[in-house]
Amino acid sequence: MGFRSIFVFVVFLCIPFDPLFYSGLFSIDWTSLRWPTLAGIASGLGSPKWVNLNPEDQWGLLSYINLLISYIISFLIAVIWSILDKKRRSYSTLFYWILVIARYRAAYGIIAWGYKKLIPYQMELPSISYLNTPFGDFRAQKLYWQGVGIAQHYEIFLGFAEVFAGILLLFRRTTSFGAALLFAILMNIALANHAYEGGVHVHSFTFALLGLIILWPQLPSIYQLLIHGHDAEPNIYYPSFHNNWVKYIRYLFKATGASVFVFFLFYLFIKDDLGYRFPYEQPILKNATGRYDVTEFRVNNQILPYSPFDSVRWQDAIFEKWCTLTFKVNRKQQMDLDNQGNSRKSIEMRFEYAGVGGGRHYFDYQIDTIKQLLYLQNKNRAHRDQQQILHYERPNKDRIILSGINEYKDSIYVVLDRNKHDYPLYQNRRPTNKIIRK
Amino acid sequence: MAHTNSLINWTEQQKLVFRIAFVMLIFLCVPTDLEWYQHLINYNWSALHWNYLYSIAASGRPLEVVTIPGESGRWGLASYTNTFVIFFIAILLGLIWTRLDKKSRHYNKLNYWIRVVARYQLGFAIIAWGYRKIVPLQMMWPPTNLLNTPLLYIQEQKIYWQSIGIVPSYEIFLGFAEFFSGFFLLFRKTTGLGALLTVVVLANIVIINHTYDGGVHIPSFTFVLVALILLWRDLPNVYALLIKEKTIQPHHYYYPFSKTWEKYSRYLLKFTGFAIFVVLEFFLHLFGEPKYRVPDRPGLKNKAGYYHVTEFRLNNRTIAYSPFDSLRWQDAILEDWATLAFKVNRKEIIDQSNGPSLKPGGGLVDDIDRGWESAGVQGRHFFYYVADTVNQILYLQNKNKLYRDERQILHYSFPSKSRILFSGINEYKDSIYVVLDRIDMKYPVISSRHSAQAF
Repeated sequence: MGFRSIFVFVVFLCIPFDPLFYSGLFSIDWTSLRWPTLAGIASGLGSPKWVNLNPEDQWGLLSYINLLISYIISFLIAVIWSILDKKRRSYSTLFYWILVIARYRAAYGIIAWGYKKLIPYQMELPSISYLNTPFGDFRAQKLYWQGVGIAQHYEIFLGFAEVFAGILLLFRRTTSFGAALLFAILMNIALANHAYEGGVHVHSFTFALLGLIILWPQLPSIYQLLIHGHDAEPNIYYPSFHNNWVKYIRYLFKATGASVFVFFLFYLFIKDDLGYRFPYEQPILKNATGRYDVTEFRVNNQILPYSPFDSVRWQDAIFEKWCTLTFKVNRKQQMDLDNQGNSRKSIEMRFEYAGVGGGRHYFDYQIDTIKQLLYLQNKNRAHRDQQQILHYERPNKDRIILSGINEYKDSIYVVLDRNKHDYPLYQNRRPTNKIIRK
Repeated sequence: MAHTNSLINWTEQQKLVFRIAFVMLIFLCVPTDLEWYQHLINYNWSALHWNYLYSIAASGRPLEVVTIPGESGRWGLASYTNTFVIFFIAILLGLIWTRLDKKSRHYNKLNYWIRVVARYQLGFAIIAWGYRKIVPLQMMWPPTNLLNTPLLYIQEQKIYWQSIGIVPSYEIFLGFAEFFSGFFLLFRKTTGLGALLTVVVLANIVIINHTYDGGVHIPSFTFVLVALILLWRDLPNVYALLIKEKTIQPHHYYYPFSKTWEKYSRYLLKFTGFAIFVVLEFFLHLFGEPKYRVPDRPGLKNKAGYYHVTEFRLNNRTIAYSPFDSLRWQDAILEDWATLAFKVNRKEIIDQSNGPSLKPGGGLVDDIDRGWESAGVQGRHFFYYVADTVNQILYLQNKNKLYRDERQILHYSFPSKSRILFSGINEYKDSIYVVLDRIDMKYPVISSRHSAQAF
């Protein structure tokens, strides 16, 4: 009975039931395949969506409702199954196979997750705008991610831990270690996601659950050995692979899975140079990257002096390494709590402004280098109607003069001067680095 | 029977490994610094403080033979020199021991007792580490100053710690992970589990301390090492059971405690250790100072917050706002405690320590020396103050150890609820007059939860 319900439950978790998944699978353009697509297929495990949650319910206990419903349905199916099949005395072979499915699904999934940190895409080095945003103006989730993003070596270590757990799960003999590691790491991730409201707590918990299910048969003997110091017998059952063709099919499956989800995916990761969070491949204003003081600001030909209270006058401006211009004014914007947005269109790459407040406005721009024009649009989904067209001039290396029409159809004239800073964040705590406070 | 044989007759190799590991554990677990013993003896038990038990349990330092100067000696590979030196001494002593002792056929008893020492030392130490997070003292809620400091001006270690400080629930979970690692080590049966957990939890801490320049990688690594030595016994069995898939018959020697006095001494010691380092220590933490990292002295009443500098006069001349001015304040912050921080464009060498507030051996350092809020952050100057509330005068002193000679005496008044007037003598003996207006800040880090709002 216990086995039957676990069997159905694992089927629910590991096999995609959403028709969108299959239509997506068939519409993949294989010629321009990038890692997010394949990694999404690999890690897309989880309970079928029986009910849709309201946005405000996705943080608490209620967010686990789909998992719970899946388990209840599994239990009901198991009851019917038990009534229909009274003769069978054990399900060793079936149990073996369901664990194989769970193992490989969890393994490929966690390897795809791990690659994202091992080749540090997931938590990027903070943008210049982030560096100039006060600690208190970030959402907790953002602080957690950027806290990891500033320490790329730590991110690589975390990625390595995940990939390592996955690889251990791919081999029969190391499965228990992999499952234990998977459980430990993913429970921690689930809890961190609750604390920081990261949003992937249910997904992480599902991984941890699979780890626990895979480890379950071995727990009694580990307990016997470690806690009681008694004799311990391994709890194993393998179906025999004595038929040659069964053996070869097994090898074929193993090799195909590994080539696609371990090696090919890794290759896709390392060859990608298009950027993930930030639109690196779009044309930008060259040699302008940096933070600028606003030396002069005119609205409709009237000079506005610096004021932290002004809702129109910029307090500073930042040109990123990609096609984004940000500036700080005393005007609030709707905060975007969504952490997604993996598009190739620069304006849809929303990671950049999501979860950050403090009056910094993020504008995506397209550049016309012949007419020296910037066409700007607010990246924030709630403020996309804000557009500016600004002409740029560069009298010298560190000065940029912008003039044109701002988002309120007023004419503005802005003189920007590049501001050079020591970056204590990047000077380690080494005694040779005397950090100067400015 | 084969297994009794393997307990009675150890192979030469087993004996040698044991001797080396024995010496190693002695070096790692028994504090060798004189200070630790002085603190142990000279303590005023009537004024018992959580940090006293904490420092007894967790801060005895293993043998330090050499001090390596320079970067690598503090942060890099060379900081492990002492661990290597200890290891070589252990090998040397192990070899000498092998020459001298040809008779012993096994070290079952010695092995049992050294494991007891290591288990309890490690267990109590990690429990002490864990309590500081279970009662979330270690990573405090960020001060207003930090909330208003751009990431750029905060060192990595501080960002890491404060990003845990904003989620006390997660800090408590981390504390429990440490607590259980230590707690399991205190029982014979759960030692293996505890050692395994210790390795996992503390190895992560070692890596974090390297990547964030946290500075406690050596103590964490020492814990991992001791846990690994404790785990050594179980590793071959676990390997054989899970990887080789063999049936295992483990054989461990336990000291029998057959005599009555032995039994009762064991109970007594165990009970005392528990009572002090598990129970008493927990309650001391529970009633400890929740903000021990910052001054005890309360700040000006109901005036904490972030202030704009509406007017600034120097020797009676008004100076306009400028991000480049070296004397005019750009903003000011009053904390709940007696700290005034303000931003000016003037260089100051910052404190790169963790801003320790614990006195070695127990108790807390003086108010002005509690440097957590100012260490590792750039951008503002931090002044500790003592208020004379009758005459409405603040006596301020720079918290930075290199600039302690900077003092200000400022008269204060409150024309309205959100406005403060300061007038007096600044740290350069110039007269200043400052009008501050409090801004109601809404920090996403505090209130962005759950529903989308504007920030």
